[in-house]
Amino acid sequence: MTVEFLLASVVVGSVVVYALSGGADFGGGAWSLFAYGKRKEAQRNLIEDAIAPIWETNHVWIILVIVVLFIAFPLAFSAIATSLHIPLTVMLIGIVLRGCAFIFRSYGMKEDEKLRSFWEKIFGVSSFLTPIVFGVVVAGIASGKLLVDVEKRKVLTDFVEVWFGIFPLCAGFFCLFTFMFLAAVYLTCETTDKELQQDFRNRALVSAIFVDATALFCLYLSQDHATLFWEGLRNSDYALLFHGFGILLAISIFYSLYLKKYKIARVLAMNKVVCIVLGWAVCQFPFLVVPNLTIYTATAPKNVLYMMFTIIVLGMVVTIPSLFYLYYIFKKKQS
Amino acid sequence: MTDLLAARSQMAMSLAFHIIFACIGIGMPLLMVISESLWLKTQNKVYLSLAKKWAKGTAIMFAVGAVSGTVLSFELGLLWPEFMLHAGPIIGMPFSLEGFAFFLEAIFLGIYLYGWDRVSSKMHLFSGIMVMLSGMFSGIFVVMANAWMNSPAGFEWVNGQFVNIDPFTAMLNPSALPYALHMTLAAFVSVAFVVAGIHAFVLLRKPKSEFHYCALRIALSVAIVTSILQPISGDISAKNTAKQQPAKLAAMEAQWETEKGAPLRIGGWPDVENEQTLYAIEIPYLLSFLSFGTFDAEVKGLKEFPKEDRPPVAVVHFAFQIMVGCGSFMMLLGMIGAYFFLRKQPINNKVWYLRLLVFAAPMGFIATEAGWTVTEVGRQPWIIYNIMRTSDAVTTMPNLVVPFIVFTILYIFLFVMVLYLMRLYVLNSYED
Repeated sequence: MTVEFLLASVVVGSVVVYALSGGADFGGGAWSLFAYGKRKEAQRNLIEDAIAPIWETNHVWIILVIVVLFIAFPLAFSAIATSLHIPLTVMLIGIVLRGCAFIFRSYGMKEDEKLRSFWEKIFGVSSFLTPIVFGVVVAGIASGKLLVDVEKRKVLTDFVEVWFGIFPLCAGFFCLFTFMFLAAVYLTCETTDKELQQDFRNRALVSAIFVDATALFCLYLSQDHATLFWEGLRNSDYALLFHGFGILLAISIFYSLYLKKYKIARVLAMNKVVCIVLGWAVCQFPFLVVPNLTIYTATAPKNVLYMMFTIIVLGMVVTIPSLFYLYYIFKKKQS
Repeated sequence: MTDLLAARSQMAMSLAFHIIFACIGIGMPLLMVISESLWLKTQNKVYLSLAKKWAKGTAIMFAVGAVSGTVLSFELGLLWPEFMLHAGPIIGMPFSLEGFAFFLEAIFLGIYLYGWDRVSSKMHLFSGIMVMLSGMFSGIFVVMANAWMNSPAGFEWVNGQFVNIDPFTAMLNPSALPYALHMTLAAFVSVAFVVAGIHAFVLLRKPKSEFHYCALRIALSVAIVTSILQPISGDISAKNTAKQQPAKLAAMEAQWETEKGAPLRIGGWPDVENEQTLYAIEIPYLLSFLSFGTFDAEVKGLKEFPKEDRPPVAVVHFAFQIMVGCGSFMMLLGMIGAYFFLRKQPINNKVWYLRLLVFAAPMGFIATEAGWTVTEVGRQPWIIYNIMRTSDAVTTMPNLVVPFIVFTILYIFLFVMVLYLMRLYVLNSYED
């Protein structure tokens, strides 16, 4: 096991945790946009209470991804930042608006109902749109269109063709639906109010259908639009394993939601998202950016990689227990 | 507007915006922790409600700071991919450490802001201390990485390639500690003066308010200590700059000629065309002394450097004057405050002093922005001093003026919003 592999695993692992935590925060925000019915306000309050103490922590995982990329895999980082400049900029605007809107709307605006509902809307819309751009960016990286001249360390593609197309768009919606699905399942466990549980159970069931439909469509499109990714899927036993397991999970999630076994559904849903991310990672392994950059191309010098990995291990030793403590404090009441 | 200028403007604007919220994230936890410990020690409820008020008021700043910091970490690559390609691994150590400092800050911030009724009072205080320390270290690590751009170390530069990279030496480059010290103190000074100013403002209208008097005393005690220490750390920084970046020092002082016994200039108009500085008040020998510790030391002038290697003189000189001016004024206020504290004189009835504090409220942040301008503009035209030019590091992406305008509008809008909400918040607490 090489240090490059370990650091790439840190990237994938952070994406997994980000999807499970930060992703669900975005999904929750998107549901606040679609709050309707008698319990509209109750739905929004539930979402707000669930997100408030943890969203900034959940957000740090994406920073960790960026930091590991630019330190350990600088060529991959600068290639991604160059050719995906436009969607990344849109994504940043989404991240900024989501975070600010979330905190603004719960801020001394009781007097100003108009302003509050304005930020409420911004929060919902940015939570809805940003995950689509996440998906577009990841699809662009996997598409095989981001060409890099490794010798000259130059990006060969233009600024649009990598991410503009039906495959990235489909992946974007897949990402959005996954986050919304995850959030809906989590929210069933965040309340003891039967009706609210029912609301989010219905949302979870509907979004689960959307997740599976877009997933299949993405795989279908990848045959033509991300050929190396498709090859990876066909030729790797692990990839088939993860995808097969994902299908089993999808079925059991429907069943457990049907039976209103919310806590079981939550565990299954988390596993499903783990399967999705790992399944994707295995498909494009050993490529970091398909098709020119593997995790061994143009990496930082070995001593830097070892230093980085050591810091990550030591950092996790301090961070992980603190993280568990945070979740223990704010999520124990429900379980 | 060229793409290079647009990229530089976007980066400068993003940093100028973020630095305010980052400073608040470093400074406010100290004030909250002091207030909360006083509550635990004295059981005076005023301190508890003060800590809570400050915490709620600061939540908004943390959020804006976290997301605007995220923008910066992406912008390093979006705007300067060539720089990150080479520098990423070398300055990786402070950035990885920063990542974890940020993690701890976010975790304990969640506990601090939302856990008043969920954890014991000791655990709550501990969380506050963790927020303060991790916020502080987070800032220190980022500044260390920035210091590397100003005094690059920890590698060999062979045929346009960085070889034999030593991340430890890179992180502990000559400017790292002077910069980290100066910036950390700046964060505390800025926050302490704003908070002192706000509470002084309310005290002028409600002189009997115990709440605001306690708040003022806490903020002022931090302001006193840090505003008196800051000029000392400024001196350390200046001596470091004299050694590491003589062109920057020359621009700060608008010093054109290389001379022994160089004078310190106050004010003045750098005439770039004719390479001279007009209308400045000159204090003989003082620049030589402040830069090198002896009155006849030789200070290099701008003429020593080829024109294409000189930073924009006027901007750097003016920014430096603003920083020093604000810093000196705050030090003076700090000394007066220290006098009152030592003589145990109450200050809630000293109207003139409270007015001065209100006047000085924004000065810390003005000085911080100006100082940041000195560091960054003074480093130009280099992104890595004497190694890589800023113009060689910029992305190939065209039309960079578009994201620059978009982010500028976004940030102005958010800034106005934050000010509006803070006004509401302070006015509300004024009513209570």
